[in-house]
Amino acid sequence: MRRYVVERSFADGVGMSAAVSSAEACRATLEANARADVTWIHSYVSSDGSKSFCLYEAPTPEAVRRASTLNRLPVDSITEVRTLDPYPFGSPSPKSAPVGAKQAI
Amino acid sequence: MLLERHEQLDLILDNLDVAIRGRGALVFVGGEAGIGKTALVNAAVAGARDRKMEAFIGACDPLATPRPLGPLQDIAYELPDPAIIELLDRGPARFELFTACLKMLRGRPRLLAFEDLHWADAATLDLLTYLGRRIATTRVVLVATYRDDELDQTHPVRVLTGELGTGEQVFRMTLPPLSQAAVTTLATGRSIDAHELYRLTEGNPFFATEVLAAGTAGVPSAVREAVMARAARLSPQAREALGVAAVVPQRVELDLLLTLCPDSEAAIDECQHRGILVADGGGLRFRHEIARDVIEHSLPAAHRRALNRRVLAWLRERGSGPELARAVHHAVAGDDWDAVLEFAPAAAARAAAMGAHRESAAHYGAAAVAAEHRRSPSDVADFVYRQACACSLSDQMAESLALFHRSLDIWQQAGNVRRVGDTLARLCRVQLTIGNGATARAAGDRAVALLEVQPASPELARALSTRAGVAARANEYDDVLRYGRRAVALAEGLGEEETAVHALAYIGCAEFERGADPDGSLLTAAIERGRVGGLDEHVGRSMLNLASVQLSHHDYPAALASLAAGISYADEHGFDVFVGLMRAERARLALETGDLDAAADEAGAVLRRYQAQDTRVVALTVLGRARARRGDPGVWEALDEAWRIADGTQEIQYLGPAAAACLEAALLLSSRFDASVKVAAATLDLAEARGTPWQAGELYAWLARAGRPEPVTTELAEPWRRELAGEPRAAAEAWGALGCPYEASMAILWGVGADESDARKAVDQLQRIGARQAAAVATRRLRERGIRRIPRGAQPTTLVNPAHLTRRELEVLSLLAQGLSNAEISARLFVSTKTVEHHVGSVLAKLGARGRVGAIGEARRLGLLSESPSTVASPKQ
Repeated sequence: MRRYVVERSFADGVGMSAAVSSAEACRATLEANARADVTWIHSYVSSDGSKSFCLYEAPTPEAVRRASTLNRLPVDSITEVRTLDPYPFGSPSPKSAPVGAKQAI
Repeated sequence: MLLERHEQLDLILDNLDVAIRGRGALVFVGGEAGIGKTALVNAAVAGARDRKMEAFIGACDPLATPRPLGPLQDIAYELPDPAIIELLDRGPARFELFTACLKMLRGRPRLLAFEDLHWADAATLDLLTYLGRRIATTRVVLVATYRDDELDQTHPVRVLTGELGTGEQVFRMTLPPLSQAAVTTLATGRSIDAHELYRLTEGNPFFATEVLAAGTAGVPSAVREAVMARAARLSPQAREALGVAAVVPQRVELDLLLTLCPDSEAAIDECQHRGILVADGGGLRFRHEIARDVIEHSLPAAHRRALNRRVLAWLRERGSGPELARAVHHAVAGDDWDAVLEFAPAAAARAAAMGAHRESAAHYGAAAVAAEHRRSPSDVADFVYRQACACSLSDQMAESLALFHRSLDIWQQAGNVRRVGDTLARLCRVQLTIGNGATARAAGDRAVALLEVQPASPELARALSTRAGVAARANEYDDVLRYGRRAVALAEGLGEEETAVHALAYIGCAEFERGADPDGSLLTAAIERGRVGGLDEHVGRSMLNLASVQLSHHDYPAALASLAAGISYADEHGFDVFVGLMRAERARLALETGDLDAAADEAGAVLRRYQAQDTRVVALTVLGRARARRGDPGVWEALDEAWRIADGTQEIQYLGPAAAACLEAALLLSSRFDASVKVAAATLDLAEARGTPWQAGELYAWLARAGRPEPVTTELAEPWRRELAGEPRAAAEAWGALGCPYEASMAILWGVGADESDARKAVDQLQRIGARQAAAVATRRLRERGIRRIPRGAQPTTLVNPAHLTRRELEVLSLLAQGLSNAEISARLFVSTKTVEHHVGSVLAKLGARGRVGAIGEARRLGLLSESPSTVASPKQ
């Protein structure tokens, strides 16, 4: 399974929220994704609803497109991605622990 | 007592209710050994009887090599269905047999079960594929069980469940292990610690019940121990009878048991009382196959061999000819070589007639081993040769190669020139299929050279025809005619119709391809002649070639019709390899006519299912190009593999498109530019020597577009010629007339001297067919030239109310697509016509269509209707 980020642009400002606007819409969205063998992980949406970046797990980019078509969502671009976070060398030392963390006595 | 299986049982029983009203279902039940699949089937049978429905169970046997269509035989004899029985006896009548089965399924409402698919022969799996695609039109619930822990990713059953799994009325379930609570329930009133029992058995029902039945104080560490412990509690006579029963896979006839263990009625009863053996039709079997397996392997080897021989003797004595596969099994297990030689070849022939080529190969293999023991080298070579032929028909190419080589060695040592030549010709064919072009050519040349100095023979005719095939793949038209005509003359003189048709098809294809026979009438005549002669495989292959040439001539309407007819034919006659090749061609057609969605989807589906290299190279090239044009990831992944395969074949039909695709991708993605130019220029040399005007033209054009033009030295197809001559608009018009919107736009945007308004329209066209990356690159280049006001692309979807159809609406839609009227739909779904009208109206509104035809088209575009090869419309040939 690979991870893909899909960029979408919406003209009406409703954007991705429509996909989860009701229980039925949510269920239908997830069902359509399952039919295409795609798992929706989460999306980043702009405040005005005009743009979203959606993270999916899928076997191929074609599966992602198929799910988007079934859910009638526009596709600007698809990019294959790997997750990267800022701690590749282990957790930070105690001196730089976040504020509010309990100190060991 | 059936624990924790209510959901699964309910699914089957609900579908029984629906089946009564005319809508069948296929339910796949997977699970590890001992998980209770048979118990579920038995519960379903009880449920069917409650509903006054008949129920029949057929099982695949754990024979060394299974009987072809074993489960169907079981069911057909029990029903009984005289039509199916007659076809089974008659032999090769695969198409009629499948249609007779379908007819039986459309008869009275029934429950049918096919058990243990992991042991199924190829013919049974083909039958299941055929019925599974049409199951919703029957009145049967067909339950198919299999051990899913014994299958790897490429196992035919996995492919089957994957292919059928998303079809209409097809369900898949896996039975989970029992929970602690259920195991505790099983262990109530026993002295065994339920937690310990659960921990060791991991919730496996069979293991748990065996342990409980063994009644030992502690819990055995393995199933084997549990079974042996249970058997140890039997009297010696009962243990002896059990040993005999264990040697017979599946069901053991009572008469057989009594013959081998005289006066053992009491002992047999004891086994039944203890629950180790259960009654089954006219005989007995072990309660579970695991138990039988354990007992069989616990027998001393010599004793086991002797028992098998005695079983075989009993089978012979029974008269009316023993069942071949059973006879072979016991002959092999009993090391009875003479018996193997007696039965295995016949069993192999019978399996081949049923289309179970894998099983046929296994039987020939057993015969070869027996012939070795009997020290008869020429027999060994013959059986190994036949085994190799069967392997090549069942897509076991590596095995086929090794076996042909082995028989070749034996015949070379014996100095049998005719068979050496014939085997070389066979090797040539297999090497061609795998994609080793050079090796194939060498083998073919050697075959012809060896045989043509011998007196005329059918083997020489076959070798000539095969060599013509090598030339055909390399576009060496003169050689095709030379070898092909010799083959036809010799074959017709010797009455070898099959070889003659084979060669005529190669000739017809070559003449059609190079334009000497513009209508393809020679090839069409070869197809007809093959049909008349009942040469199904040749007909299938020739239909494929016809479509392929039409496609390479860009005659899309003709190609589309030929592909539909060809896929339908190949599917029904079980030529899986041809179906794969044609679906790949269909993907290519979609790409060339600008349907990127269909092209990428079909190419992806082909790659998931088919292994043959010549299928994959076409699909990979299409997929790579579609992704590049859309800007999707995975372009080089696809094209690199395509190139690797194409390079192995050294055939311009694959090298040309692959090289052009790489250069196109390099320009669209701005990567690997120099390497791609180099490859394209090198391939151009081959295209100039051996290619068609289309292949050469494409390579010249892409090199020119990349700024590395080569001087034109051969004849080019018109649209390419125009572009290279600096007439982009004429080129675009030529492409437009053929129906290729992508090439039309690219000719304008990459050719020299196009005007601005044409350029803008071309960009718009690219965006409309979804070639976003191509459009983006073109837009950037136009801006660099100072052109403004370039179209920005289709408006993003206004998504106020997404068209989510309910399950009921999807059902109605699918029936609409099958052409049913409102009245017919209401009858099918058992609702009023008013309700149907309401649903139809809702469907139209949600899809934004004004009529049924528009709705169906929109639904297809959205991928809401399931697509399988057999649902493609096929105009009558």
